[in-house]
Amino acid sequence: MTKENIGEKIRISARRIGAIFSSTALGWIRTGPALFFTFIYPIVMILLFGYIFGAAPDDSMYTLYYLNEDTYQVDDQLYSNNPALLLLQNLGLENETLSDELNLRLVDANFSTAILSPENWTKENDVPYLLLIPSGWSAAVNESKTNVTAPKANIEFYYDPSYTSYFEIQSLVDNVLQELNLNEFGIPTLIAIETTTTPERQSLDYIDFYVPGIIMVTISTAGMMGLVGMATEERQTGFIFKLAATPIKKWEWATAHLFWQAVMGLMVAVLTVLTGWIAFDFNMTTIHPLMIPILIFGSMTFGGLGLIIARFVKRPEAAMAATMSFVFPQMFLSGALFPPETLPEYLQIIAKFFPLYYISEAMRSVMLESTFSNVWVPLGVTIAMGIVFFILGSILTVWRKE
Amino acid sequence: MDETNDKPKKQNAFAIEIGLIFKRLGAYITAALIDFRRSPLTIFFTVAYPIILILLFGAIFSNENLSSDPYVLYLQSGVDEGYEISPTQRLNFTDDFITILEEMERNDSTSIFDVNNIPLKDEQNKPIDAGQYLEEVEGYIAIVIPENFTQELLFNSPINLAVIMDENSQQANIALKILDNVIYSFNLGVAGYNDTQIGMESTNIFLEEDIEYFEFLIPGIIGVAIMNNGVIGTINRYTYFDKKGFFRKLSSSPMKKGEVVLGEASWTFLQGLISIIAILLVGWLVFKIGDRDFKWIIDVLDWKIIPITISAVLNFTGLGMIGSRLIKNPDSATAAGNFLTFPMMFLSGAFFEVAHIPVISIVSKMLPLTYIVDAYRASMITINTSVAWFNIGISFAFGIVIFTIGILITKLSER
Amino acid sequence: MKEEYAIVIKNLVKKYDDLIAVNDISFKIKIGEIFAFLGPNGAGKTTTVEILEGIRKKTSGQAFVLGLNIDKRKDLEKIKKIIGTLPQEFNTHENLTVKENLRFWSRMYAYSLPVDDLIALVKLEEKTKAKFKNLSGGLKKRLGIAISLVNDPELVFLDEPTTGLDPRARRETWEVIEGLKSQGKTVFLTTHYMEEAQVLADTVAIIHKGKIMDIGSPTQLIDRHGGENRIVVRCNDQETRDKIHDLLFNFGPLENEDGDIVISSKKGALSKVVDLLDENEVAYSDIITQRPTLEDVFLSLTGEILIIDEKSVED
Repeated sequence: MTKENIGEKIRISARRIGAIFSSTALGWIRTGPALFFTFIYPIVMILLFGYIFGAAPDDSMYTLYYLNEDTYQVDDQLYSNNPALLLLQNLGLENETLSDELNLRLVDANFSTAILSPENWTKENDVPYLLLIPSGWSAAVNESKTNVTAPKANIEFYYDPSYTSYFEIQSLVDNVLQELNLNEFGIPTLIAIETTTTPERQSLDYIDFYVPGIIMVTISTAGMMGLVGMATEERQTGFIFKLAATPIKKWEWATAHLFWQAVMGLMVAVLTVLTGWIAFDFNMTTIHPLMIPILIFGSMTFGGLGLIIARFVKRPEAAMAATMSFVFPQMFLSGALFPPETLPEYLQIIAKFFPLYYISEAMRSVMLESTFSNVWVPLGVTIAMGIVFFILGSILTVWRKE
Repeated sequence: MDETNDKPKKQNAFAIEIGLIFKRLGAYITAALIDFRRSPLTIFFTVAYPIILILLFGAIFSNENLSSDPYVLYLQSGVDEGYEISPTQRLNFTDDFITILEEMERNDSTSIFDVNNIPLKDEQNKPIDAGQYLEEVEGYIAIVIPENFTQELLFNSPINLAVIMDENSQQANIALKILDNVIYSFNLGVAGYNDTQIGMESTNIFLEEDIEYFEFLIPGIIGVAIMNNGVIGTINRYTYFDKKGFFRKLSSSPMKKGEVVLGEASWTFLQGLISIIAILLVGWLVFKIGDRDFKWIIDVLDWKIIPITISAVLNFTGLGMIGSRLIKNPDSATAAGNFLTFPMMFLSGAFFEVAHIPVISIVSKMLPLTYIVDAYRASMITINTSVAWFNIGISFAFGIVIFTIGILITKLSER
Repeated sequence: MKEEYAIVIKNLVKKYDDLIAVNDISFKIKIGEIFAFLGPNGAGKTTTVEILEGIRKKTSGQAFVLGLNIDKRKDLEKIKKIIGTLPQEFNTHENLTVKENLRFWSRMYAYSLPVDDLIALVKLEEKTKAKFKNLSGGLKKRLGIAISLVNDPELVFLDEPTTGLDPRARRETWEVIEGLKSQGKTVFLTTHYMEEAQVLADTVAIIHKGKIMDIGSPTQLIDRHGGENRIVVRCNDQETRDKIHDLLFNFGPLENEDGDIVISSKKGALSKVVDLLDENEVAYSDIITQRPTLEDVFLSLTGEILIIDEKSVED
């Protein structure tokens, strides 16, 4: 074959790819809802996940109800302090700075245990947790300072286990109690903890780490649904068979669509980053040029997967259902929204079967210099997946009727 | 004669009219049911999707404290010569401390910490910085025990143990709290106190039965399933019927708009019941049969499920009707419906508590799903009658408003 | 060597699970003719066309398009460059205009005709900026025909090009198809309209339940299967009708659905009938002779009447 011939072939292929690409783009621009969703979807996704998972522990504000039945009066006792009051103060009562630091807001429950048991009060008022200082507690604490055999002085903590946050509040109260213990009994503090944040992550928040993950979640969801919808619809209307009777090749058609997916992916990325920056002060310095190939190969992976689903599930609505059953678990298991290490071990193994796992690994690794050396494996996997799924997708696409 | 006959006649006519309404409704629902069997998307949203949700979230969050996996703790300790208190006894606090960490267990005898050693020096004999090491292995928490910890602690206290952690990691924060406790007890031990005088007693307010995470989840999934059916199903069907002229055809029959809407709503209700049964069966099979808890599925059935489901149907078919007026194109109906329901699923505390999350906690109060899920939860799981009725009341208030708007803006024909 | 035949089919079979859609058919189509595949819905017309276009798998048999074997991948690629197709249910980008759609399809080919010429050919000049989804059924079909011509094909497959069109639009489409023939193109047409086949086709193949019943020019087919010419006597009232019946008793009169009397026209019958009626001063309104049509051919070949019911076609 002569050189000119090859050049001519490439030109004709490019012309066909360009035609599919530009007609898809034109169609997209002219469909109101499609345009609207493309712009609004990434914004909603980043706001949603940014707030839900991005609410770092120090942004939370828990409400702790307390009931102080202790009527200890400093005046008529031997000791000059009131442990019950001290405890509440150490938990941030009437001290906004401390309250903000502990993420705890104390609210007086204001009922009498003589009338209603604490369990029932908590149930009836749908309250997650209640701290009860029983009457005589302060006196008991003070007595035990002189009397070694005095019984232990306990406060009571009631919780509704359906509120998963009870555990955090319980340990918080526990810590404050321990401090009180040390202070009240004059135990020397021999060991203390001095916490520092990992050096490079100091200025970074959740959002900085998960903007790339959220971008990929959006791209995988929107991209797969879009492509599956398109492919099944083109088959239903017969458009694809009309196309099949022209000289266009399957790979040209697939390339055009994946190219379009990549463009949409970049658009989603820009929108997400901008929204993240405006709403959550996303740290733009973490953006790295390597993210662009990751984005492109990621889009190819999901595009290819979409074509594969469309090949096997022919009815558009069934295909949509199949796509959702894949996309949804992937979103949560792949570590794009929260670190996969949080998951039970067997789920961590399942997570590795989802393409998004490697893509978000790669995205996160490129952000920091210290983890940059880890990028090559997930990046390699991402590129390989992009190519393999693209080829599989275009081979498996069937243009012939049975 | 005429006068006496008039009344029964009227009653008769009224009875016939009612009979006809039921006949039309019956026909409408039967058609929807047949359609359902043949429509994979609705079957998916009614049965398969909620099951995926239970299994997914059940697996992710099922164990208490989020995970039964040990917290991965990186530890770097300097050489500790220890301190000889007698020829036969030698104190070594570093070893003691590490042993305590390694041997700590949860109630179900899984370890709390997975302790990994950070070497002091690398191959080129350069000292390794624990913080940098932590980042390279992508760990979230590390603790550094200083050289000659034993002697330092005995003669040079107080001592600071450096903890390096990723502030954004939830696990790191929990692990830190546990470390805090360990160090506190260690402190007491070294200072010669065995026990403390002040303590805390924790009481689960549902003592008779410990609520597992999946039980928290089930009412949430039921709410989400009904929402998806209601919103996406209604948008799909209404836009499709509108485009295909089915509604115009209906409007030229004696069937009234109210009956069409009632037919649609009854159908969504029926689907909701199918979802509830499917969800409860799966939850029971997966999470309870193993523990030989056969009674569970009976215990969760409460008659209040019916009014709650009705209020949910009012809310979500209403939303669906509003959505179908805005979308009109059946092709984008599923996407549009998803777009509406997807954020609500997360904002309403269906899968995890949102009351302490800023912004979200406020948004959640404006969404009907929050109240519906709370009502289901209070009726089925926590058995809390007053909370249940409070939430049912709010759900109905939302539902009636949304449903009325839905009816008002729905048009069978362009008239 | 110049090919004499545009299409050669030998023993073509297409089976679905338990249904034989195309049952061992063989025929040839000459270059430059209009070939009509005539038969009711479900007879196997579209299946055959799609096999020839390379978009449906055949079960067995052989087919050559412009001398190229559809079983060979290389040949199939060549075929796709030189044929044009109009699918039965033609759809293209909904939100693109007539001109944009034509441009889209023309880019699928290495060489294509100027878009404006095609628009002029199907008389869509006033609609160039209309979106496809806003076109009427007739205009959509016309755009479809224009698209099937973008690559200046040697062979055009038109699958039911006039189904669902009103009579005027149908006639306009016929003109376009006849124009194709004058340009020397071979046209493979499928239709279930007798009239269409009769007006347009050089060769007609009648297909029924996957079998070809007969093949030939319309005249040949009528001569073979249409039976004799008929004399139709038209009258307006029952009294006259009964009278004619009695008078023409020896000719074996029949009554058609319009209430006309029909007898077969043997040699010299016409003058006899006229004389007989005139002698008896019968007030008939008209007397005509009719040649049998393809309708009659179809009836005699299959024992069935080709139902032309727009409603059932649409569904």
